[in-house]
Amino acid sequence: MRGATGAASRPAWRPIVVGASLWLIATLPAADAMQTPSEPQSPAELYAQAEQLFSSAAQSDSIPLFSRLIALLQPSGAGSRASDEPDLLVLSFYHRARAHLNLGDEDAARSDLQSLLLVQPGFEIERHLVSPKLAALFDATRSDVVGYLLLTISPDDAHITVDGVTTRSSFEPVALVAGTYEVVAARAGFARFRDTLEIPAGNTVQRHVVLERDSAVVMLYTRPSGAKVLLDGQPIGTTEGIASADLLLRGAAARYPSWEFSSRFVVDDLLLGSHEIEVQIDGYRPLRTRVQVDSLVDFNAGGLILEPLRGTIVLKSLPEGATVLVNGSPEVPRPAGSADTSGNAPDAPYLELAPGQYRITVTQTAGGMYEDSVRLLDRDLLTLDISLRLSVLFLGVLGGDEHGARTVVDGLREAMLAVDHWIYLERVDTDPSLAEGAGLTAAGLRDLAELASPVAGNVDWNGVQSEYDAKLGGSVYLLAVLSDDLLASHADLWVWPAAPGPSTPDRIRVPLEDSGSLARFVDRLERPFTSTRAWLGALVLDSEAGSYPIVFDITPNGPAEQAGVRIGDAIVAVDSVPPERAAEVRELIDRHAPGSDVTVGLRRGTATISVQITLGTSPSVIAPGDPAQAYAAVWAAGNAAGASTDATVPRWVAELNVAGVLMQARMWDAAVRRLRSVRVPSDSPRAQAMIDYYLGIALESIGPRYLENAREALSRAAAVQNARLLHWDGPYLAPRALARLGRLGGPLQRD
Amino acid sequence: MRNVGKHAVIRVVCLVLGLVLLLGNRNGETTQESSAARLVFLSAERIESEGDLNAALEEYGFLVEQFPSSEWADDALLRIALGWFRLGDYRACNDAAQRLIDGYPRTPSAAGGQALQAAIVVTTARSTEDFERARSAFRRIPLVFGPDAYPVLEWRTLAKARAGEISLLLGEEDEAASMLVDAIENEPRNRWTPRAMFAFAAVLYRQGQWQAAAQTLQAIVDEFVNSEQQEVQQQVAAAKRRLTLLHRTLIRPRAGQPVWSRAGVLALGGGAVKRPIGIAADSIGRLLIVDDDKDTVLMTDADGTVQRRRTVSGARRPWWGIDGTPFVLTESFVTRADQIGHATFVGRKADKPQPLKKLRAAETGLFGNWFLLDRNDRRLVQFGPDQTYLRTLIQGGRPEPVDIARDTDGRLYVLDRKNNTVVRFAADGAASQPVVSRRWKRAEAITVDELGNIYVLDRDARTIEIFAPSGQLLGSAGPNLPGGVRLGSPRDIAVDGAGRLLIADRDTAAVMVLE
Repeated sequence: MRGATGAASRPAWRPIVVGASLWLIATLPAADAMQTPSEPQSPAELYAQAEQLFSSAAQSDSIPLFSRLIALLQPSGAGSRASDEPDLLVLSFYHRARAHLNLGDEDAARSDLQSLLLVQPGFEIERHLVSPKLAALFDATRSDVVGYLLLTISPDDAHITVDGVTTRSSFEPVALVAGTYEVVAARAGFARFRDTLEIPAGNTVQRHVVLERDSAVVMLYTRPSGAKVLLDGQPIGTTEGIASADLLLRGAAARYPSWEFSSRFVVDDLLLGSHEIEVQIDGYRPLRTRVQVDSLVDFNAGGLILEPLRGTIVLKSLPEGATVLVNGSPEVPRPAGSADTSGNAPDAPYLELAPGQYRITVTQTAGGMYEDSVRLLDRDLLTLDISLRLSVLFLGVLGGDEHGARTVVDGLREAMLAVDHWIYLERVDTDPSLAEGAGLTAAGLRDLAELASPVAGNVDWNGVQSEYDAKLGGSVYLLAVLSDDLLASHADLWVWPAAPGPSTPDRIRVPLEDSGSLARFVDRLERPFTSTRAWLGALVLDSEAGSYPIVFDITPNGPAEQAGVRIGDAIVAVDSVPPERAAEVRELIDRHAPGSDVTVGLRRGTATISVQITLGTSPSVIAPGDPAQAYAAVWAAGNAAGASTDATVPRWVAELNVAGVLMQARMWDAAVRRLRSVRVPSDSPRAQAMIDYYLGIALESIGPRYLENAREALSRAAAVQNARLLHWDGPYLAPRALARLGRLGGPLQRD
Repeated sequence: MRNVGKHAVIRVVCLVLGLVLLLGNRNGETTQESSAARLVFLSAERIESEGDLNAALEEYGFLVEQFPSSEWADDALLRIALGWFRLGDYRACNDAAQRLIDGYPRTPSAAGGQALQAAIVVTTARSTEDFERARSAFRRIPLVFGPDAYPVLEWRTLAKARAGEISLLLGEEDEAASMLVDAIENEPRNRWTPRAMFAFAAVLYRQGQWQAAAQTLQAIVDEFVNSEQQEVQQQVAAAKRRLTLLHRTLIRPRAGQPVWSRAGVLALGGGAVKRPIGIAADSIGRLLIVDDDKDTVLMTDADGTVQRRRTVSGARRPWWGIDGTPFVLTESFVTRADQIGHATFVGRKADKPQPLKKLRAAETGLFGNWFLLDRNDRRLVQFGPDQTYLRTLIQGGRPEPVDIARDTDGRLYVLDRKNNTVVRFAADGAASQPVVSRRWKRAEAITVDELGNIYVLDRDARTIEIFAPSGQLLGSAGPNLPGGVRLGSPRDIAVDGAGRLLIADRDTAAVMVLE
């Protein structure tokens, strides 16, 4: 059997000739170079030189060059291929044949034409361009060398190979070098046809073959491509490629463009009966379909759409404008009411995610943060009730004492479990260079703790705040520094709020051997959220002249007076608990909600009586300068409450707390702006007095230009009878206002 | 000796380190010097905590001389100044403070140095001008060491508190209130805050804002009760006493309750009295008791335990000086209950020197002045700190001054038996003003508590009456005391900081205590 097989139903060389000519024109050497031709190196260059000679008067000189080229390109043996440029070989034979014929060497011309047809039996000359002599010689030679096979197959989409080489299908004769060929026709669902045919030179062999149906087939396309196909549980292949543009898709598949589908995949050899076809791809839900084969025909399954594995997380009560992060990356939730891939239409915004473990974070600038870790399975429908809370982002522990670090980490984690208003998030894996770059090192912060000033040293707290705001976006940041790298006795907790809160941190020292110290720190975080408290309306103080706290004064028309409490009474019990100190009385009262009743035992002279006091409601303002406070928390709580629409929180108290923190940080301008924007209930001059007092202090602190304004504010505060600081049983305000007015020229006189 | 051994070792170590400094490369100099200085400082601190102040001062001095540029040098110099202050060597204290101010002017320690210099002026003040000078010095500290450069500086709080205290003493209450509120509200809480609060409470009380005053005192207790610093503990205790005093003398009368509800015999630990005729109490309850039997003077601690016993021939009346010195008066001289030695006084009569030999009562004033009652000529005579005669405040005629007392502001109260009045003099003795007028059978003794309430003993009626600073009668006790005890022959009275009244009752051979 001959190894080289050419198949051409129409002349294929013409475009090649034109293309090669254009290429040659483009690559022709310059005129100077022509005068001293150099030795051609490549077949293309050699061919160009040979053809130029062929077209010139010295046509005979082209023959050696064509011969050289033929020697170069001609296969060295059967089945081998000498060159990637068989067309040059064919053209070389063709032009050498013409050159030989023009020189009168017809035998040589015939030999060349014969060689040409052995390489490309379907070769055709352009008869209107060549001489009749050449045409006649070509026809004669072809009759000696080439025969034709005309094969018609039913069904006509069968795949045909001649000697293993795919050929075009039936209805057109295929030119072959005369000889014996093995012809195979195959088509899914049909028995394979195989035969050996003798193709005589100068003749056409015709065969019509009807393939015998032996099974059913299913044709399918998958979206996406690359799906593994299993038939009755056994893998039979993988879809690949891209479907042709004219693929007609129906049903759900019609929603997608054809290029999103694979090329046709044929499931073959389906015998009568029921079969399961499954397509699967990683990350997608496997698709199974059962085919009932009752007759051996072609089934068209059409486009199969593999749905990605997806679960749905419904974000119930998602605040407007909040940012949703999935594993730290922003994600835009789908709107409520839209359908997910499983057909659900959640009534709240939702996320559709592949199965896996996710950290879902929701942040809102002033409102705080929500975070939860969920494990999502395919087709899960999880609902997260988004409730934003201020966030404490724990940045880790600086210092080498591992035991101490563990004590801090575990202690904080346990203590923070009890908090209501905060979400505690450990961000200990935050890039450590962030802290180091900002100057937050164990040694640096230890030194800073020993200095008189928390704003001294080399820490750029503004930069620290900006960096962490940009990277983490918490409400409050917490960094622990151990006192020693080997055996720490205490840790300093550095706490600062997010901007625009003061960047100056609070530093709170917690002894490590005191197991309750971290819990007490956490208590401080919760304290600023109490904006109201119970009001007794009595000045209860300690006296060593008795065993119990004494009522030193009564607020006119206050709860205590209305219940019959008198000056000089000793408080022997609050809710049956005997208090030893005045502070205990306040603690016991503070356990009650405003408006609730409390039973108080009194000793009056030698008599002991019991009264029931209906407690009033008092604001609860954070005291500036109190070392027991964590002002970062006060800021965050006040800021959140100020932005909240919760009517149960007195807005002015929150605003006043925020202003107090600004004053604590000596941000006087900001404090004044805040205080001037506070609106108090019109029927509460005592509240206005508190604000005026703060305003007076802030204005005085700004500088000389505002002293008169400060004087006005303090004068207003001093004029309000029974005004108190912080709460209605708090420090008397007027004496303090008057004291401050002392150096401002005294109170303004009013008519 | 043990400390001396330690010094030697530490100094050798430091000298070796110093040698390394000289010979080694310069790059490690700062660190090595700092380490050596720190070693010395910690050693000195430990010696100081063990009570050997002189040795500690020596060690601090070594540090300053050897490592003057170390970060510990200014701290050491401040400790030196503080040490000299505690030892009463104000000249050495002032020198050290000045060296600190000159050598380390921008350090927080320099603020301490300035505060110490101002404190020396207060302690050695001889006139109101000295007080004003000291106040100016204290006021200057917040200006030099402002909060922008020194956000947290305890010395600034102390300076404001002291300036406020001085203003209060000078009677400038508005000025005092301004400084004190500044210290309380504009400075971070620290160990000096309760001091400012205590003074502010005094201002408020003086201004008639007793509720606010009491509330401020309670705030001291509530906020600082858990402090371990000694000065804070003392202030908390003082606040508790002041609250108790307020309760007794202000609240109980308002509520129609007796000032004292319980009486008994004072239990003296380690001693007893047979014929007590004189008694004095200081703020914290330490007592001086004169026992006419064997001319004995007893000095007790606040628990009533006798700490010292001394025989003073002719001992009459004891009193506590402003700085806590225990004095005892005899007919002709003044001595201390805790030291040997005495002082006599020579007055003037018809411009001629005349030794005072019939003394009845005495007090020391705010500027170190002496005030003595001379029984012979029924006169009250003022002497300077060096016992030189200054002037006679009361002389002859109708007045018969029988006892004298001083309040915390240095004002003098003279009990006039003849006129049945109590006359109040300003701290410098310049002006007088009758504050109480009452018909007593035989006014015998007077004392004043820390709120300015006046207690008068009527010897024959065997009663003690208490009057508000305004002169209003608040209550009385005797002759039958609560619990059925009856006074025998009361001769002297005293009141401590908590309003506990003590009566030297000669015939019952006891000191009675009313609580």
